[in-house]
Amino acid sequence: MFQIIGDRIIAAFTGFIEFISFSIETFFKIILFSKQTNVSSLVLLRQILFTGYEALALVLVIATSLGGLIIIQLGPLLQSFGQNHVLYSILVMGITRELACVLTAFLIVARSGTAISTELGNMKVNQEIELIDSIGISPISYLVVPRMVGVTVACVVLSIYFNLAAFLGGWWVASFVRPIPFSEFSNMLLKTLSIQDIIQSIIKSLVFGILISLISAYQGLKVDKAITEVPQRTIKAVVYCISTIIITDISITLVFFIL
Amino acid sequence: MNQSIEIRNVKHRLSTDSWLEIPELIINPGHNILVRAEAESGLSTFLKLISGVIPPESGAIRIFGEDLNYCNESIYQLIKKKISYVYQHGVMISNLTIQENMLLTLNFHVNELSSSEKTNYINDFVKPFEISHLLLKRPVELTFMQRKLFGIIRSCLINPELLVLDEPFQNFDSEYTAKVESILEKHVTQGNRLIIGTTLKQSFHFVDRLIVFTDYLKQPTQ
Repeated sequence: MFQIIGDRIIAAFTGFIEFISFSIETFFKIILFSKQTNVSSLVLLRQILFTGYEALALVLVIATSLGGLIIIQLGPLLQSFGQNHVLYSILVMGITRELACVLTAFLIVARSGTAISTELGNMKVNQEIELIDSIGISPISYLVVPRMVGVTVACVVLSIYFNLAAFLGGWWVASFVRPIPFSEFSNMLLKTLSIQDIIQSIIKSLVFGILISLISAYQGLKVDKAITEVPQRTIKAVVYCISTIIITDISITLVFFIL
Repeated sequence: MNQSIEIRNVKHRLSTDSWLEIPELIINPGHNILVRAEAESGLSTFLKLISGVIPPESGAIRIFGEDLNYCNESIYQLIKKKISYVYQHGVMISNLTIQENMLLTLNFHVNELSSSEKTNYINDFVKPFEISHLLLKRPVELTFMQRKLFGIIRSCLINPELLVLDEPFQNFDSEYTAKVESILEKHVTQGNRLIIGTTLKQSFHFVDRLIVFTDYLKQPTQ
């Protein structure tokens, strides 16, 4: 019993150390990536297209609905207390500081994290990773770095779009039920929104993007020989990504709270 | 730069009950080598080891005077340009077209040509084999023979000094065998070398040294 627990702790610790060294190697290979743009730029563009552009519609729909729901649900309640202005603080705290980055990250895990893990896992089984290495191209700089850069850029940009859609779309959706003059809405929102909120949102998206891409790529590359390992690794990638996003979100929020 | 491949004290596991043990093997420049083996004996692993595709579990392999596990990035890439490994099953990157697969090798190793010149170079290279119409297809749309032939062509595109081929004629009909032979003839005529690993009993006139793979294969019963 104790041996099983001990073995699991050792395995988890070893896995964590391996992941850290993989992440460090990936960051070092960014330098190599910049020298290999003739082979890697296409991978980067495809990643941004898939993670960012193709997910935009979904992000806009979710953000608009969410913004509208918050305004419709909380507006009348706050009005009954004569606390209309608090609505804007809730919008900024709820959407800009938390939901925009976290929900965008979850969407990216569901679409791109699983795709990266599955694709790299299949490439490993089919010896394509070995092939890339045999040509002389570093699989990390050719496959992982462009995905990391692409997912991170897409995560930050989608998060910004999420914010805009949640505020503007939310106002538009709410106008059918509970109209607020746009000038009043925008003035109050801009008054409430601080630079610190925007910085916090961007930092969170940046970190989430890096973590999602690294965890998914690492799990994909951990596939050894059997095709049955691919879905197992993909499930692990999703679980680790979601857990890490939540823990990181709390940590960054605490840091900003203390500062 | 030293042109030989030196293998010393290499031990590498092939399966749960067999492993490779090579106390010393030196492959000198100027020879075209045939590595003869039994089927399912681990020949692919042996060829991957001597061409630096995978590292040995223990021991040292120096390719062109360098241990690929310890050399810097520029030397590593230089050696990878000089030695090319052809997979037994014609491995290709599945989400790229055949042309993009070819371009990947050229884009990485050849800087002096423009993008259109590289495409023309590929078309010219492929034209004699009458398979140009397949260039825009993805690997999954090709037959095994077509994929394998493209794998050999891709490896020859950068004109490597040493071409290591794993079962280049296996499962080929006479038409494709002739095509591959003509590629290898051309490669040798240009002053480059070959290492061919095979389980087939055929002989090749351009081969001038034979390595018997079973000399290095160890099993508990031996």
